[in-house]
Amino acid sequence: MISDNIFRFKQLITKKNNSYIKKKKRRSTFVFVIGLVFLFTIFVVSLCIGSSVILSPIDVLSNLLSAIEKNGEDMTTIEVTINLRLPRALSAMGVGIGLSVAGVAYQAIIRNPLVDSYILGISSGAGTFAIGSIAYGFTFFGLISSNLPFAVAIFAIIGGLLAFFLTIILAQRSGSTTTSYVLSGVIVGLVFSTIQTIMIIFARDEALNAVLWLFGSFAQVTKLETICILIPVVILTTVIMCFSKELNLVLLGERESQQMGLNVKRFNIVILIFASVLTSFCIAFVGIVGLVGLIIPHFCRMLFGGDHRIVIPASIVFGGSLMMISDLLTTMIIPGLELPVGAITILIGAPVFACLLFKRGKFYNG
Amino acid sequence: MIIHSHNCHTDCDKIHSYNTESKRRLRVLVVAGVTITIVLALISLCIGSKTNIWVDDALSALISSMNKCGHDLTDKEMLIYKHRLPRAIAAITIGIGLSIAGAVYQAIIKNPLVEPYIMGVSSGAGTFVMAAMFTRFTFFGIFSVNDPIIIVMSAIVGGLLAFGCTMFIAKHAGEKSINYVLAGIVVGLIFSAIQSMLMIRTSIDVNNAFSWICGSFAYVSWDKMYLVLIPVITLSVIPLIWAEEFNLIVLGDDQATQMGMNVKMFNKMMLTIASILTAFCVAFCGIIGFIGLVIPHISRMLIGGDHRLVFPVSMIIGGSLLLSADLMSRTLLVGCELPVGIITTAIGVPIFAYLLIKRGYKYDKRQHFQV
Amino acid sequence: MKTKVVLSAAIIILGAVATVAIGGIEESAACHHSEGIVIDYGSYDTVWMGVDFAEETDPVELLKRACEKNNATPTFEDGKLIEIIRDDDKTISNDSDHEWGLWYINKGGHDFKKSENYRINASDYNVVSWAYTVDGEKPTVAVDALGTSIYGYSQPGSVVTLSPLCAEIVASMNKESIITGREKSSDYPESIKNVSVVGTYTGPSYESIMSVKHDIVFCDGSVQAQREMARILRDSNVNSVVIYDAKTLRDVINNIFIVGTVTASDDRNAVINDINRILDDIKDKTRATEGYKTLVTLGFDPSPYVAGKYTYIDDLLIDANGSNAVGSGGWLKIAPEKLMEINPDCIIVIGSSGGYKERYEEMKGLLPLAWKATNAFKNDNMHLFAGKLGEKTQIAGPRIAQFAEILAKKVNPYAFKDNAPIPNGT
Repeated sequence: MISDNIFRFKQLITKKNNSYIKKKKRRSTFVFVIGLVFLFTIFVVSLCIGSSVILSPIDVLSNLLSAIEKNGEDMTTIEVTINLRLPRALSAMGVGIGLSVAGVAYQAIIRNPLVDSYILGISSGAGTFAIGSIAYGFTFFGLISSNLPFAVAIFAIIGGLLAFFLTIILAQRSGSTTTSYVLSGVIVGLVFSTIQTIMIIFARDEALNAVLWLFGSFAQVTKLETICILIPVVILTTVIMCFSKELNLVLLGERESQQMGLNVKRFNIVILIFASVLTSFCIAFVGIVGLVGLIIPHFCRMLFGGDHRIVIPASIVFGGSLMMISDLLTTMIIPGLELPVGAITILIGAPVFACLLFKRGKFYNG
Repeated sequence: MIIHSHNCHTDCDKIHSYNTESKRRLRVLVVAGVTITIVLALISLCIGSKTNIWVDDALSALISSMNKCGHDLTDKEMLIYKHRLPRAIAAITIGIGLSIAGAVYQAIIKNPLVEPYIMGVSSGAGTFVMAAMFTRFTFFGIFSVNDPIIIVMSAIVGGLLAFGCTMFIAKHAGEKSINYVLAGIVVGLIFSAIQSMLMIRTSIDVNNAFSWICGSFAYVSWDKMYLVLIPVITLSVIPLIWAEEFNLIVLGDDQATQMGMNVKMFNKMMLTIASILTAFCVAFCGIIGFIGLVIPHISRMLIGGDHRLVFPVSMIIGGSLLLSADLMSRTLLVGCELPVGIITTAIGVPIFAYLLIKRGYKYDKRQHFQV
Repeated sequence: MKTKVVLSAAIIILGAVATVAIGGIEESAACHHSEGIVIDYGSYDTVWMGVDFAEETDPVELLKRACEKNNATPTFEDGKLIEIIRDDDKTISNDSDHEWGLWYINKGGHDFKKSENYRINASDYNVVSWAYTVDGEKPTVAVDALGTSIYGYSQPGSVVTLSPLCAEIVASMNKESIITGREKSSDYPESIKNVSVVGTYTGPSYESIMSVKHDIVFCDGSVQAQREMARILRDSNVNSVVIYDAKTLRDVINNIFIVGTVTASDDRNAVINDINRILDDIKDKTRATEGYKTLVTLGFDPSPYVAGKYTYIDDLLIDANGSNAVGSGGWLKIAPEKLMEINPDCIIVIGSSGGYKERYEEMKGLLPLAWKATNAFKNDNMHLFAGKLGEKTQIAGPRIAQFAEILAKKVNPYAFKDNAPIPNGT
């Protein structure tokens, strides 16, 4: 299977087969259009459905327009409801897209289909710093006041990036192979999660808030925060998408891609940093959302093969949709109660993950 | 084929030549290990968070309290007989149990990175124990709430379930060492999601649940000791009996089959025993990570890969290491208890890191285990 | 190979047999045996008389002895107890809805059961009580959270408290001077900060407890580690009492009663009566006017934690003739849309830490969207309980009465019209 793919890539890269390329291009355009329609449908559905009232799409639109007209003053209940659902849906879509695309990048660069931001220790690092800020009012030695509106988010980004750099340093010390990236990530993650546990045990009043942050929620995302999520997601996703050809090359093997004139080492580091910044921004405002970055790229590769020019758009579509559906589920499973979205994605993701491996497990062995 | 079997014979011969050198090393290690354990046990009887007792006082108090069978004790005797002695015994026992479980996993999965904690077995058992405790599960009214048997049973079910999941995922993802680690982490993630749901739905106190799961020997008492001591020791002895077969298994399944072993059956039985062993350890003392990983490694470094030596040496080192971790957990913070799981993690993570980075390249090769 | 299989099987079977056999022999060691009888006059007014069960086990004879000792006179009619005249000349007799009865708690059990006849043997039971009860209600609580009798302790000279709540209740009985050990974060009343620390909330230390004077150790039943610690301490012949996880108002008062009884405090009845008087007072005042539909939350989160049914907050809201905006049970994290849907008329925010006061106005400006859509916000009927006041609500101890009063004034302001308004956000 793999060798077949490699053969195809080689054909593709050496541009021997023009009709094949045309077919591929047509296919990717098709996937993209269908995907966008699908994503938009889910988005509209998540605006229509909620734990309180179910609206028709036309109602949604008219209320949205009237709410914008009123500029947020004296809104009716339905207009407020739409105003609650809109940032939630948008930020869920953004986070879903960001985590999935980052997952694609990690899996391609590290060449292991089982890695994501959680396994590389980034989530644990972000979580540890966020808990330090929530439960202990940690201010980074007075540099960042805990009264700042985005204090927790800033700490989460710092923690995530710190964990990432520790992982990279450890990995490079041990030979920067696939194995060493993963195992360094695991070690860094374990260290941070031990610190987390200690902090939670000794934090009395804020322990609950801290643990809830760890499992993520879209309920508290404001309009401003939605923008703070969407802008980096759009920029970094576009950047990573531009490099999809190079990601294909990297998958072929170091020697092959070097022959094709790619500085693999530098490329790997740059993409890993992009992916980590992307992940940190996603995690910072909503808390840790596990397994999305792991299962979505898998799912897309299964459906559309290993070409990143298709896998990345497909991940955008499915990642965004999955996260919006998960967010809907958090309030719909027990109507009115807010469950942690991270727990939902894990509970959805784990069986899917097992099924994928069960059906196509051997495929990834190469 | 002929070459193959020839190879096997030389390998087997190598193992069977239980040479005098390794016998001598074993004897030295066992004597030294037992001495260190006894010394540590004595120290842990003498030192505490508030009251320190001299060795001669401690010994005489121990003997007199034994003579009294635990009745009408003085304060000092009470401290030693009711608290420090059961703690020390539990720490040694759990140390033995987790090290043996780790050694068994590593040998059968032929992977030096697997361990009850990393494989998610401890998380599974811990989650089920937590669920049974905080939802006041009584098995349809047959047992009383928090009955020790309920706790043990749920630990075993949870442990085996988690183990099954991890093995399933890892097998299908290709049996590389990273994939075992990754599968274990994913399974651990699932169980922590279940824990968070439990906490939110039953509105239990978060610190309460967390501190309960994060291992400690502070709440071991004589009336639960039988449920820790006997099963753990019994199950730890079994792999010792089969040490030679473990050596064969490490050489490769084909060779083992040629030597007349039912490899599949053997693997299944031993992995189940190791998982149940872990579950018993987790049931009353919570999750204690990394002991199962670090101890077999240290033993192999000291004495080589022969399981007839690795198992007993692991037992001794495991017992004494956990004993000293427990000693630290109750003396580091004066007047308070630290969860022992935190201390073993603090010891284990640097060793894990060192092993991975220094010897990582070896990990997908079998030589690591061989003599 | 065969010998190994047989040997392994033999070892496993031997281990299993040994475990079961030892498990069968082992008895749960309970150091505290209370022998005697309880006379329960209702509304937490109980009298205990210890009697050696070697002398007497018939409950009727025990009652007669107890009455003799307390200068009371029991009256039996047709072999049934119908009234007791107390030493203060109060006559407590059966009427249309109150009745004297003989109640018992089985060994190892928690719940009172009513005895059909008086021919039982008091030594067969955990606690036996002659109780004057309203139809359908049970007698006053007589066992702690682990099912051990709370009667029969001799007056303690020293007390160790393993949680802030325990310390606070003991202090309310004017016994703070005998506290010899405390949990690390206990800080009320001030004087307790000088007492030595015997562990953390989730990690009590056996050695530290044993190193201070410890006639009685009070543990908090809501923490698993403390329940276990109580078991181990009892095994070491240390009297330990586990108070209940205070979920409802009744639990709160039961806990105060338990601590008062165990410490043999003279102030027990006074403390409980004070609380009940304040609560009755609130009920009386608010009976005529209906209070707001109120939501009580922890903090300003867009999807806040709120108090549902079966919490003491819910009980207090009902006492103030208000209604709880949340219908489900326990503490819940509700979705923003749900917050709008239930649309409370009044929101009480409980802040756990200080510093909220300065930020109150700022918070009001930054309130999440869903909060601004509620009637409570529109009518400016939101109240922040932080600092000392927040503490009162979080620790379900005797200070709950003061909290109940303030809460009632907020939930049902018209009932308290003549009272001076209380300042916001203190």
